[in-house]
Amino acid sequence: MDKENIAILRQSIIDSLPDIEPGIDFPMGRVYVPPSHIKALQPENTIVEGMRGAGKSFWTATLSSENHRHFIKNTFPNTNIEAVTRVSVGFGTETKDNYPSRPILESLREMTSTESEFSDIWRTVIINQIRSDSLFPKQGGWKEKYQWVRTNPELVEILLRNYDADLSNKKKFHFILFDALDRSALNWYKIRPLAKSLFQIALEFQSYRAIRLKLFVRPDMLDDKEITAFPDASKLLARKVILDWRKVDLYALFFQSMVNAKGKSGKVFRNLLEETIGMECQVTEREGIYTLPNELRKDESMQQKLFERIAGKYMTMPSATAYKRGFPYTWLPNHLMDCNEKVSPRSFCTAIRVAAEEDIPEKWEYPLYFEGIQSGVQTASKMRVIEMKEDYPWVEDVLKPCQVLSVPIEKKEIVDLWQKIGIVDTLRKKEKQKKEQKLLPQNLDEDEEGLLKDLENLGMISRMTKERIQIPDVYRVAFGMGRKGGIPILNDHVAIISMDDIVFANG
Amino acid sequence: MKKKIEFGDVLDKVADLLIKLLPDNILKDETVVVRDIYNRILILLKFDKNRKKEKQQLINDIENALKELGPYYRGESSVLCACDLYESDIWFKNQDILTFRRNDVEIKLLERQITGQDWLRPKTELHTIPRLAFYSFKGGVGRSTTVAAIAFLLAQSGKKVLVFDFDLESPGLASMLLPIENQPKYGIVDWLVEDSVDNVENHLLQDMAASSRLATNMDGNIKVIPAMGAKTDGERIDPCYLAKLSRIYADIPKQDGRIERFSDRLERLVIESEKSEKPDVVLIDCRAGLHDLSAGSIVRIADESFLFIVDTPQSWQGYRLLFSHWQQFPKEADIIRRNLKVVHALIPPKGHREKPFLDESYRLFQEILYDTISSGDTSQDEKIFWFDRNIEEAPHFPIGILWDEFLSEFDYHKFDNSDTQQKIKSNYDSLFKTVTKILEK
Amino acid sequence: MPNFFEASRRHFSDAEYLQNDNRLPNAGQLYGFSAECGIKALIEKTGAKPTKDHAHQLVNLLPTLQIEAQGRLSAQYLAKIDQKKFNAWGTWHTDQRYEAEKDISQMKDFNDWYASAKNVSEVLEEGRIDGVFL
Repeated sequence: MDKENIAILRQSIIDSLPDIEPGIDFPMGRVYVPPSHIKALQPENTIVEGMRGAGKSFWTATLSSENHRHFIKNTFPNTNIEAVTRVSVGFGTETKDNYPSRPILESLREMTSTESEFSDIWRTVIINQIRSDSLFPKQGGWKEKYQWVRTNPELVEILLRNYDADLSNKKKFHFILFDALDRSALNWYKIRPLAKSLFQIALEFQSYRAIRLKLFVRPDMLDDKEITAFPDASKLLARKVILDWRKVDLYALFFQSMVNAKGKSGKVFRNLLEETIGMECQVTEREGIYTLPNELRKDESMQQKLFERIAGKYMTMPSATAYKRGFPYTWLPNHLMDCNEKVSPRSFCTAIRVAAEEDIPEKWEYPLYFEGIQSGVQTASKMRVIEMKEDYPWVEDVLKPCQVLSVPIEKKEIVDLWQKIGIVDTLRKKEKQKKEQKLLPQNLDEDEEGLLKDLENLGMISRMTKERIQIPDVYRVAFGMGRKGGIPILNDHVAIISMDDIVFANG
Repeated sequence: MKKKIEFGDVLDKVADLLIKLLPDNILKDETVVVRDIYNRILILLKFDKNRKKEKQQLINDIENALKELGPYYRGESSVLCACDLYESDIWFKNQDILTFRRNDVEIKLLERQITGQDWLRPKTELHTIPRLAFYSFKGGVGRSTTVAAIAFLLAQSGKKVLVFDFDLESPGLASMLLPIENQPKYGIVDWLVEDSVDNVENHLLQDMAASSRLATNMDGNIKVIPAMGAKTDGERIDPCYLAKLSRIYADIPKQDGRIERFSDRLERLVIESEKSEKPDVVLIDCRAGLHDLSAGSIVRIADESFLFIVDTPQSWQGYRLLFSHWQQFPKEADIIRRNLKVVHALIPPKGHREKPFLDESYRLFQEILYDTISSGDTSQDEKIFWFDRNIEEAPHFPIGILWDEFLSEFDYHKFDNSDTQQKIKSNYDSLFKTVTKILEK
Repeated sequence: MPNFFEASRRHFSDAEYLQNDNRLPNAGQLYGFSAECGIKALIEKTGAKPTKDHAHQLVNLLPTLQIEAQGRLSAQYLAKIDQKKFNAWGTWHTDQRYEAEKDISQMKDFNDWYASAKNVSEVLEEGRIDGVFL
């Protein structure tokens, strides 16, 4: 590839993959719906499961934009969202009038005691979002609205039925989306009743034809026995859809972003694509967005061929033994995988973008250099760990002391270490203090075994045979753990951090 | 009562006493530990006459200390200096010197055993034609069938394949790729026997290679060099085979005074056959078990060795044995471990334990052959040899071969059938893809 | 008490000394004795007993070793003795000790004798390292 095109493509990658929030301004060229997500968007599917970064908030925001809905309906017609006219959010990450914020939920919670009263909170939220002229107080705070719903159960039902019938006659849908439920309260004891009641509402609302609830939830919420312990829960959960990003989906997302780069860069990449696989991209009429040929979205070897044109064939300089270092197409996702073998699109795109920002040697003939890809993976890993720590602060407390250990870790080693530093007690104290109002491990009541369970659920560790614990590179590197093997490296100058060097925040 | 000293303790004990008695620089640069053929220890010191005189006390101390080795003590000549030897270079610069490690100290070791040395003599030279070895610890895992299948698929993709049956003690590959009437008159054993008396005539190599008719309508071709030549009419066996077999393993002295090792001779056979046939790729069917034949192939001749593992305790144990041997010699192990790849053989069609196999394979490599790097070191140095469990290009990450009934008791006539050929394509798909990647330049 | 190994070494050592001083006839003699003792040392290791007669036809000593060498170990050492070089002893004889320097017509084979003696001594040295001879 000539130098000019290399430079163009490098800049294009950087420009096409910025880390921006989804919403009405989000570039449509970057909206790619992998097959598993198509089901997630379909009206009849209520529960959508996705790990952090899989797209829960993305779809919540994107579905909320009419233009984007139009684009999706044309380019991915199997989603069946043509008839969706209204989308509103019942709970999410932003501060909106549509739904109560966490503190308000907290105050509403304090007014409740029974389960059905929790459900009323959500009915209040839903009613607030459907248009209706009625006795429902438009003004006033959430407390008033909640009181009204509690005291007028029949009216609530009539309102909902009328609205539903009306929309249904017009053959339309109204999506009400729920996201970020783990932020509905500050600890699991409080989240659980809210989540459970919402699930029950979701089950109830399956009988409506036009009002369609969609709950975007994390896997750990669905694994929580207390949340899913209600009659016929299995009916709801059996039909859950999982937001999955396979290797082919990630690369399809990348390629689609690239073919839609503005101006000359988009053209350069589209030419490269045509040249490499002998197929052309289609263009959407209304928005002028390029979409990928179907085969390119599914065929790994075709994708690999195209990616090779950008990153070279091997993860090292070409030589007779270069294949031993791996191939960029597989190396990249493999090194970003967590224990559930999942990669988030955000990590993936970050890694590629950072790789494009790194310098390339004079003689290298591709836009991406393998050392750049390695840097990209490191950066994406760090970012992923920060995300983890944000969502689950206890992870830092639990894993940072493990710096002194080497992977794979024997179960006994890590349990002994945790017992020695008394991490379970420390976490329990935090719980009691209520000062640190952040989420604690779900299974803390099972002590160290519970911590292992929770880490496993988060995909941060996996259990191998013979009680060995594996921690994938993406997390191992961030927490500074060593690597265990059979052959000690000589002249290993890296200092070994001892237990005594570790300071614990809460003593 | 003092613990009786056993074979396994000897090297450690010797290392300990040398570390104690010798200054670092002498131990590192001027000392070679020899284990003679009776398992006794001899210490060689690179001292000339003057130095020997100067260091006489030190020499006495070492001689005394060696007495602790009990039956492994040589007695009088336990320590020899360079000045005591005619040609000291032969010993201090011996190509068989290994690096033994004790507590982070590296010590030179020379093992004077009669066989088995080839497990630790890695290849040093580059060559251009890729050579792939197929090895299994236990027999009966479908290794030869795999070699035949891969040869077939390669020829189909246009490659010129040269296949060696190195399983001299139980030959069989030839009958999979050649019908009985086509098997060559001469085989590898014939070449080795004639070569040992310099009696190899020009035509011999050509008479050893036969073309497989399976590749008749393909762009590529398959040439087979069998273990045994088919001499007699009718049954096509060589009645002298056993007699020849017993004579081929000795080291042979050459004109220039060098001694040629068995694996060197095998390598020479491969090189000369390559010159004669000019293939695109060479496949070697190795002998199962811990024999010099396999040692030479895996460690010295091949560029990549596929290790066939079945999910049984004996299989795992066997590889542990082999790997543990390599583990003791880190410098050599470093070269060898970079050329290995696991093949998960004989996967039963239903309910196979995929994840546990990966875990077990990972454990085998990680516990014995991967590097240990202490906490906090995040370097991505290419020389470091450590892999996370799920990394596909890692040697431990298995390539799967499904077991299918049609593959058992395989022979040429079964092979020569389009249904079979279709099945072969799907069963060996994963391995074939890997082999193809290796051959891409 | 014969110690063929040590005897071989001292003959070789002295022969070298003479050779360096260009005293080739006696050096040649001693190289012959060195080779003789060397082969006898090896014959002894096969379990057979070397007799005195052999020295008269040094060149025939090697076949004797070949006959006696049955085991893997002795075959190994035998293999290292260069047969071709050993044939040079065909022109060597103990009776040459009676002759005047200018009459030892076979001195032209000195280099070949040296080569064989060297080969034998190297094999013995290997045996020493290996622990066969101590």
